[in-house]
Amino acid sequence: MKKIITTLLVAVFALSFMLIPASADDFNTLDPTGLLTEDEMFALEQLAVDIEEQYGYFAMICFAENTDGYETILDFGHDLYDSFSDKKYAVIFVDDLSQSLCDFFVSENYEEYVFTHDVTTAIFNAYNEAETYYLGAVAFYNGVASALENAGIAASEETTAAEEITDAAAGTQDTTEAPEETTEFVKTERLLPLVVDNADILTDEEEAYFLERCQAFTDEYKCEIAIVTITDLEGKTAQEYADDFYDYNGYGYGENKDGLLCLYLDGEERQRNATLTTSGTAQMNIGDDEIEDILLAIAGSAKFGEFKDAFDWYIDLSEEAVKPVPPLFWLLICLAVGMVIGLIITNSMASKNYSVHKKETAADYVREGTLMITGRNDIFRNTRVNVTPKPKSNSGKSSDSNGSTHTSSSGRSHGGGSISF
Amino acid sequence: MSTLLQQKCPNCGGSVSFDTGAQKLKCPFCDSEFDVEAAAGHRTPDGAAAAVDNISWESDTSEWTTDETTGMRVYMCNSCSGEVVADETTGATSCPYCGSPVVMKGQFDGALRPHLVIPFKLDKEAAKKAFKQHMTGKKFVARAFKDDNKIDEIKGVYVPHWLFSCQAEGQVSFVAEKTTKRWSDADNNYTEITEYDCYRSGNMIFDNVPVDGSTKMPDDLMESLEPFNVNEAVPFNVGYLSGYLADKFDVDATSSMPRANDRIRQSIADNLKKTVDGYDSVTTIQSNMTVLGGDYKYALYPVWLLTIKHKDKDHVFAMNGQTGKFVGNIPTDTKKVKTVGALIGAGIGVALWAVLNLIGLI
Repeated sequence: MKKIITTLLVAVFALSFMLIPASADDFNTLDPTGLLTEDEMFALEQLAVDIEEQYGYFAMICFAENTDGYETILDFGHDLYDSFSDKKYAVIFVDDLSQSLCDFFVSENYEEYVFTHDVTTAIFNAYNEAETYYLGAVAFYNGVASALENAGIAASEETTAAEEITDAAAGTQDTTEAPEETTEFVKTERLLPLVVDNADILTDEEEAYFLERCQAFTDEYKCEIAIVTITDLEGKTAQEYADDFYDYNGYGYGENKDGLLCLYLDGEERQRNATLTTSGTAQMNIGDDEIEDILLAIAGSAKFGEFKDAFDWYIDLSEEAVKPVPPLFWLLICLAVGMVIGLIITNSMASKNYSVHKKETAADYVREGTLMITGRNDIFRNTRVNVTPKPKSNSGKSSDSNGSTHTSSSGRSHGGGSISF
Repeated sequence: MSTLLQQKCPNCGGSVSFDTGAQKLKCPFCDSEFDVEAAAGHRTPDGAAAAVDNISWESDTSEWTTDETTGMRVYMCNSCSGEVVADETTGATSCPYCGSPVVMKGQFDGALRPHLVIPFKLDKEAAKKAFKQHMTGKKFVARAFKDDNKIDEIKGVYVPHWLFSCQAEGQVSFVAEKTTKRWSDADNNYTEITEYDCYRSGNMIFDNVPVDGSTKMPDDLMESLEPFNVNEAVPFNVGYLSGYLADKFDVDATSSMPRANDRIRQSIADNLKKTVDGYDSVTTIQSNMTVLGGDYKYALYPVWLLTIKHKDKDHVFAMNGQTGKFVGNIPTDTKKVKTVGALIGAGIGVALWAVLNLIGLI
């Protein structure tokens, strides 16, 4: 029995030593296989310390030789969290070198609000595109810092990061009551390109082509236009997904976040949907009728698999809608309005030149007090009911812009529409 | 006593007439058209009499005496054929209606003698002053009307009028509506409206409703000069004509009666309509009128007249010689109205454009 217990203790000790180097006690970057130089380790440590000081968040990256003994990489990350962090809130990135698999562990399940799928995807992509492990680690720490910054998380004595997140998360769930509380989560800078083909329905050439067109559109009209394709709505409605994708990935030009995004869903069982979300000047300029036209044009081509045509229609029709009216046109409109007002004024002045009017009655010649009513009879004739249809109002929408508007989960106002086919 | 049958417009209550072209009854007031049979079958509320006016007018007339007409001369305008009367000392050189020269036709041999005359209370200077006042502040006036030289041609003219007095009884049918209930469901708003047939009858006394008895004097111009105060009228005496021109009536009393009837009927309808209260809307369906004790008189009203010819058209200005009320349409330079309007409009347009640019709306 003693032998068994001793063997188990040795095994556990050996395993712990293999996976979690003792030297890691002082570092947020775990590198048991020696991929990083000492200088690189110190540089990365500084980034982690900055995050902890600035945001109150424990960030760690681990280049694990393997995660044997753990069911998932997340379990491994959880173990790291328990071993190294006394912080309640942490984000740990684990790269299982043996399987070439990476995953995030995020404490307290706040990934929904800060480390969303889009944020972690962006960090994964940045990590994968890095040429060295060191640069990958830098991308991880920068991505974490950026996400916390954009989410408005800050360390303070009075309120912990977690409390801020909790408050903000509560606001997110009740956006209609206090939408302004959640706008902090919206990205201020765009994190993703103007064309995101997650459904992989565009060829590389087409993707490059639309990226160029979207960029040209954005540059010319100071209004971002984006194309996003997906295969799953992740439990949201298409409109919610499009709005959130737009807001939380920082789409939109300038402070007003002017722009529009076309979300194309190429789901399972031929579930196809095109959704537009508009914001800022695009919301003002693209009304319900234009949105309907754009969606019909997209659907008309997309249902035959002609995605290039579909998105060409989308960009062409959007361009028609947001294209600014020539300044001369407004001058002519103002002149026309002025002319009408001017003629009303002069005709009103000229009308004082006319003082001859026929008299319709002999009211001036009624002898005072002689009116005597001799008969009076009021008889019910009939009753009729006038029916007036109530103005149609879409739930949660108002029409204070060119078209109907709604409020996204971030609290922002959007226009838009959706079509399934 | 005569009885006049009139068909009323169901929409506005005006008298309708048969249009031979359309073969339908047509209302000259609201342009409605009705089939003759349909109009005849228009419903009348219980208790309302048929749309039949019962109107009679009577008058005591008197003739001029030879003594009165001895010194009177008749002058005729060769341009407009107007005839005016003046005593031999006053004479007449130009027509008060069109300004053309007049020639003496001969001695006055008047038929009916006026019952009443309202003597001039305001002289020529007052009339000239009133004309200048009338033109003050008026914009876009044609140049010819700014010429003061024309003012001296203003003339005092006694204009013939028929004065109708009566006790009139009216019977008027209305359709009145009021909202009695409102409710809604998810899709619609509902309004229950109840209609009533309303009938009113009543009588009023009218004193000296005037109708212009001269074809040369525009009726609307004379009506615009109203009211004259007949209480200041005096029994006619030829002496009041001295120094003034006088027009002979060329529209007799019978021809003037329809105009008096229309005005009296409308007054009764308006007054009876005011008693239909408690409703959201009241529409006159038909009205008829009975005139009791109607009589008329022949009277001369004092009017200062100035005729200015402009672009081959006579423009008549008139002042009530008793009250000083001055009327007359001033011809407007329409080109100037448009030009100035366009200039003002251009200024407003540019200012609007600048403001919109400034606040960043365009």
